[in-house]
Amino acid sequence: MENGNSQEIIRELRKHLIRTSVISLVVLMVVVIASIAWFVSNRNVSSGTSAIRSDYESIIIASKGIRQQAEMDYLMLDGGMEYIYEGETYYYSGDGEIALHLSEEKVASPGASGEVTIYVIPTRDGAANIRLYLGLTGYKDIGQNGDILVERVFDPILDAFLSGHILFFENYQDRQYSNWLFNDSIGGIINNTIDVSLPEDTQKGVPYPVTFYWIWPLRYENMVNDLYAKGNLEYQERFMHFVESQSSLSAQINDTSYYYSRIFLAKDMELNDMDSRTKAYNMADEYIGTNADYLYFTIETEAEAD
Amino acid sequence: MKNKRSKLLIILIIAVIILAAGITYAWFIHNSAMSTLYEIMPPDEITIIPVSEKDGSELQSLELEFKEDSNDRKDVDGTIHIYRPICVKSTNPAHRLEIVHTTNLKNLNFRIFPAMKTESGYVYSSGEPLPGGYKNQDPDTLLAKEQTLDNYESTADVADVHAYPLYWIAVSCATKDHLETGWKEVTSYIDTEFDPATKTEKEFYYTYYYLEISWNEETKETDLFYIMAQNIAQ
Repeated sequence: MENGNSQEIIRELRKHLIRTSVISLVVLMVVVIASIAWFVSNRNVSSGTSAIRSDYESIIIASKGIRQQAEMDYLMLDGGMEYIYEGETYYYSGDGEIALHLSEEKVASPGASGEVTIYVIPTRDGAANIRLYLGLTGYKDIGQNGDILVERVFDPILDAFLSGHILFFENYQDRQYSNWLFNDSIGGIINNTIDVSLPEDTQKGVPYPVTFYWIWPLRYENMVNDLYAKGNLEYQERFMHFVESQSSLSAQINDTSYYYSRIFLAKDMELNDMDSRTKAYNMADEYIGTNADYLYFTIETEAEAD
Repeated sequence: MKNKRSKLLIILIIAVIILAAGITYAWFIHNSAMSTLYEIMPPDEITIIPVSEKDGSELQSLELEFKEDSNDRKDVDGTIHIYRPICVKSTNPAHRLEIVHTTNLKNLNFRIFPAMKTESGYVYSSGEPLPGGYKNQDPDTLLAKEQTLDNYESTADVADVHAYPLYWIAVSCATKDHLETGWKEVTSYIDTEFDPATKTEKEFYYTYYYLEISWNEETKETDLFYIMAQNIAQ
């Protein structure tokens, strides 16, 4: 009798154990799936609000040209799928991240500038609105003994300086930049976006070019002359907003030698401030140069299922 | 019993998957991104170096006194012309020259000629002088425009108008492949130098100019004369 009982108890316990482990396993799966989903959706989020949502089921953005050497050596991104239209090869991403192809090899340094043309390949006819996000972060070379290895530099000050020193514009004519793509800033990091409106007569499969320009002003005075001194109130307000967003960061480093320091926050752009601001701008450039070896530049868009 | 249990398990798993998908719909967001890496480099270097040496030592000062055994000459009417060669050494093939001078001397004029250098190191001017213009010249007096100095209270403290410098900026210069409209094409000699910091050969452009400065020496006056070279962001 005793034996039988213990056998039953054991069986009962085993059943209980199995049930518990199954439930635990299921709970674990839920947790893992939820975390992955959260992680994936977090990756998609760019700072700032987006009033315009892309209209398509899936946006195809493409580029043509050559890959940058540094990307091929270090990032080794997917080259992308090929789309040939009228003899030209466009490299596009379905989902995920691919290498941005450009017309020439470029270097990022104070004084450098460039033009980037990407293509939106419509997946259906007709008008639509698309928003593109331009992202900038720093990467550092951490390879040793000839190892080729880079990693992302997680430094909000660096991110803020990068987004403050490398500016994006929609137009460049007669050596003048206009239509600054600065949209919003959170914690000193500037959100650069381009809103593209595909016209009514857009045809499916025909690549639609989108061109924009970037510049890393050599000196502070270049930034002031191009953006602030235009006399355009919109620019002035935006520029002050932009300076404020940058300077709100400096509280963390508490170093007044950097341009975006609280000291410069409220003052007008007087000429006799120019010298000290120029020095501080250069110091921020030096901070970028010493903390990052590479500039990671991303063009991103996202769409939701209908 | 077993069948029921396994059915229950399957239903449970399916429920979990549907739940996770429904909450997050992460898999239905299509994200397209294109990225690349740019190398971050320091800004371009530029200096003015003396013509005789190429070791990168900066030209600290130009001898602007009249030299007897040289191309310098004195005109009959008392105008002195002096000729000085300089070299602009830069990592960027485009640059701009700037002259700043005070206006004490009478008829202080200057011209900057692009110059060539022969194998043996002889520098000679070739071509038309660089076009350019004064940026702060008063059209009536031809002196520097008077500035109001906020820091000074009384007019008695305002400096002599001849002490205000005149800024003259030359047209931008670049080598043939880097010209933009309105710029002047100059001949640059390219050479490399070993940079111990990056352990690579760095390429430098050497552009030569001949500076002609002339003035009328009637009274003993002194002027400050500066020449500067600036990189042009391209």
